[in-house]
Amino acid sequence: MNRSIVFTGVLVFLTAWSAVVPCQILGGVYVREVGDEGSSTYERLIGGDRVSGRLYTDPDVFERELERIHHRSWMFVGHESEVATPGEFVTRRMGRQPVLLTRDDTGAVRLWSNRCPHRGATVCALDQGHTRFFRCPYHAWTFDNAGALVALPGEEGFGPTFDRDTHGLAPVPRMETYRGFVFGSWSHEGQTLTEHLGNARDLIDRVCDISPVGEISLRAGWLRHRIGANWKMAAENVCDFYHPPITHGSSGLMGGVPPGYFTDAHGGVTRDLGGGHGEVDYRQTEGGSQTGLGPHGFIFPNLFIEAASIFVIHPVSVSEMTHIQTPITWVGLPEKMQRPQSRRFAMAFGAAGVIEPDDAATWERMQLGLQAGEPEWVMLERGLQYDHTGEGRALDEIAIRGFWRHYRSLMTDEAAAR
Amino acid sequence: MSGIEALLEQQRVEQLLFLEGRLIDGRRFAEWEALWVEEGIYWVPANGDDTDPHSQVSLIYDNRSRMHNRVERYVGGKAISQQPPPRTVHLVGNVTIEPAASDSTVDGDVSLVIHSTVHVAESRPGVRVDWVGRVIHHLVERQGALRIIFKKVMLVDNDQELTTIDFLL
Repeated sequence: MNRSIVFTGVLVFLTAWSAVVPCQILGGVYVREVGDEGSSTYERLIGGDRVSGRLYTDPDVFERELERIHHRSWMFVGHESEVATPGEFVTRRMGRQPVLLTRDDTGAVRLWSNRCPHRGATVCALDQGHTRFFRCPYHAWTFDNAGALVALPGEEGFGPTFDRDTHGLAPVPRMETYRGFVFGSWSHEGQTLTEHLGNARDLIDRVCDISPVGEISLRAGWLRHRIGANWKMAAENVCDFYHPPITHGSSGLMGGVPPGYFTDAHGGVTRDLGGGHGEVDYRQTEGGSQTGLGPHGFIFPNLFIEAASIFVIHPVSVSEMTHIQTPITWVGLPEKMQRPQSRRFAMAFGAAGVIEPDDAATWERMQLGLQAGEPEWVMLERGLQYDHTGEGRALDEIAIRGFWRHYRSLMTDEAAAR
Repeated sequence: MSGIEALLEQQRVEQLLFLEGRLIDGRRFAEWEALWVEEGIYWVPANGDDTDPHSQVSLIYDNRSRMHNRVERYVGGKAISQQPPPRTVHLVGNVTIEPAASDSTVDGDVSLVIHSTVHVAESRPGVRVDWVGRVIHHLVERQGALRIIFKKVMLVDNDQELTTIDFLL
């Protein structure tokens, strides 16, 4: 987009200039001090009730996020149902890196770098499909769906010591699944998936347990919406129930929401689940949850379980994300119980929905507004008095602060020090 | 059908498609809605052109009430994504009429299948996007006038990441 190119240019200029200027705010634009890229900077930028606008606009912050979060933390990649039968595959990104999720001929789910170990081309160019072999377009190195190098032209030319076994597709260092949700991590060590999910496992349990056999299926395809805003705006928005009646007042869907639904008095709660995860929970209110179906929560850093949909938040650049969504099918649930849900939400999401374009436009306005360096802070004060309990009123910003606490621990050396 | 009749029918169909684009670009949504019959379907598939709209996601799959809801958003003054409204220009071309098949009647109406292409130039603050696709209209004659009963827009990039589409294609 034109404007992001312009703003990136400004930031590049200021970054170069700032190397010789002490840290201060000049003319409403941040100017960085020398050598402030360490943990102490992030400790200052992320306060208990406010965060610096620079966290959404500075390309250096974005690079550090990729390195310390998306290329280290557990990331939701896809669902086992997307590769239900041997030979099925889907391609995805984990952070900036292309990956290939396959089900091999033995029925095992596998996760690979989508990169030829020879010269680096992607071995699969399609979003999804079914195949026994992946062949690199450059020199026809060919891999089976268990990652093994099974053929290459002119193999004898590599000499007698060439070992196919050490030239297979590279697996993503760690892959684990929980109830069909596939997660990967580029880090060879660290928390197990169970430790990472912590209390947020309950969100996955609740969405699966709507099915009489405890299983969901994601095979309706994904809508992929490119939005000119920082990925964290989508992450924070999940547990922001302060905004829907304003941002989504035009959708026509608000007609089905009980009066006073988006008020503290209605009795819903927002919960900091720890680990950057959070949820908004209306089960205990009169009439139960908003939809009668799944939970509404965020699993750090990229998964949003929304009642009847799964969303994934992909960072693209400091000022761009892709927001992707697919509807949930509950295995074994009668069609007539799924249909009202899907009818209600089918028109809501994606680039041409009646809900998501208003979120996208709001986040794009935030991205523009935050280019103003004064005031420096984004305020997150609602419901501070409940923080010690981890649970506040539906409209409180408790889960958002929980997101930032975890983010801060990853962006500083707190996590490593534990 | 004689050559003259075929020419007249071609002109009649083209005029309807041109008018539809003009009404959308002029934000004359009530008149646009009046081009449709009550059982109309407006479909913009995603991830390919020949998906099943009942089991696969679509960018848009609107019946008449959803179409109405959609355009009400555009003019209702509450939609953030309409502040300001995107400006669009439709360029409609390559209009051809598919020879009527024997099963092309709907409830006894004469039904025409029209193929065309569309280029929609969109402008909103900081953003200029060109949307291009093949289009199929099914038209029926009601009370002496041609009306739209089905419209499918197959965007050339419907399998890619797309920016917001908050206007009619």
